Amino acid sequence: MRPADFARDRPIEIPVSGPQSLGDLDEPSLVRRAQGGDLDAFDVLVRRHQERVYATVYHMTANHEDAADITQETFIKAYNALRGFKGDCSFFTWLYRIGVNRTLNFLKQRRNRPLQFSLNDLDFNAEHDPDIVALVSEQTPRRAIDLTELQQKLNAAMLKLSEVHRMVVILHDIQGLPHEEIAGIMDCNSGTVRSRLFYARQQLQALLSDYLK
Amino acid sequence: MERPPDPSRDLLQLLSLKRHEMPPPGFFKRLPNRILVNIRAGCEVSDLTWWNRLWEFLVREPIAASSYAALAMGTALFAVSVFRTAVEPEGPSALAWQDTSATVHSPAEAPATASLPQGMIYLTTLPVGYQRVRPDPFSAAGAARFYNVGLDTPQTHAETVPTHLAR
Repeated sequence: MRPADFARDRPIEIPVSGPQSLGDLDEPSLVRRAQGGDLDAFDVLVRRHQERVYATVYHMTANHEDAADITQETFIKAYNALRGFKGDCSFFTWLYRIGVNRTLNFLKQRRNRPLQFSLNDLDFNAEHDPDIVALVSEQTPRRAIDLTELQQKLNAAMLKLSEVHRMVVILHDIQGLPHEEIAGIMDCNSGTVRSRLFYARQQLQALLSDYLK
Repeated sequence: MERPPDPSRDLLQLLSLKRHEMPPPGFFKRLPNRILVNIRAGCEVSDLTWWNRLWEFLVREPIAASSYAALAMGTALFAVSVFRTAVEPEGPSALAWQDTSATVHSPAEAPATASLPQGMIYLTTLPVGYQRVRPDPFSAAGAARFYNVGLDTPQTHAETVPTHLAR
């Protein structure tokens, strides 16, 4: 019998608790399993939240390598601290809080060093996004520059904001989180979030006035 | 009626550009594996300063903390004793520190063997020869010494001398 035939005749093994079946579980169940040391359950949690955590850290640092390191550290720290998670807030909020604090600490330590951009490329959909199309097709100085240059100007302006103001803009205007959730993540009240957002937008409008109407 | 344009609308459009910044292809496939490998390897992440780490260690290990505290206290006491010996090597200085009943003696009560300069008083009850003295501000001679008046040394505090002594 050839190896291929032998393999075909073997009974199919259905994984009992592999990542495929774990993917159907809700978040509290996955968290409970991960708290018991189930790394496969934690793997599912990582895959669910990695993009948003990475995006937040990346927008704060404007550096892909730093964002990759901090995202990795955030999940490792979350796993090590998972037994202390009591479920007072959602896992998402708790995880975000770790990521935000880690990022703020990183930026505080790096405050005296010059900032180094390492921007990610824009995806293919950027040129077809209605907002972006409207942005570059109007009669403004923006017409003269391409999207990559606009991206660099935008990131440079964002980095001129203080860390907390930048974080609020990222979480609200880019990530689309509600004020209350941001307040939970940043450990402040929603009034503070609103006032920080208002001030940050004013500053950004002043910094990017050449590219706005 | 047309609503006035929202000033932040353009800004929000501009910010939407950030949503299209994507990491290199395959990054989100590799990241979970890197995380799990590090967790399995027992990797720990700490963002504490050395002072916070030391404090956490002391709180976590009370026996070690007590030992370090005892060691620090012993070192401090040893340093103080060495310092005092160096300052007054021949005098029974320890007695002066322990003598809580020290009283001020007038010259009349002082031992006869003590040759106390005029206008000086005893500060302690230490044995003769080790007394500490200072000018008696309530006698004329003592006040003169106290205010540095009538001595051979230059008068550096003449402006502080009371008028009845300056005469």
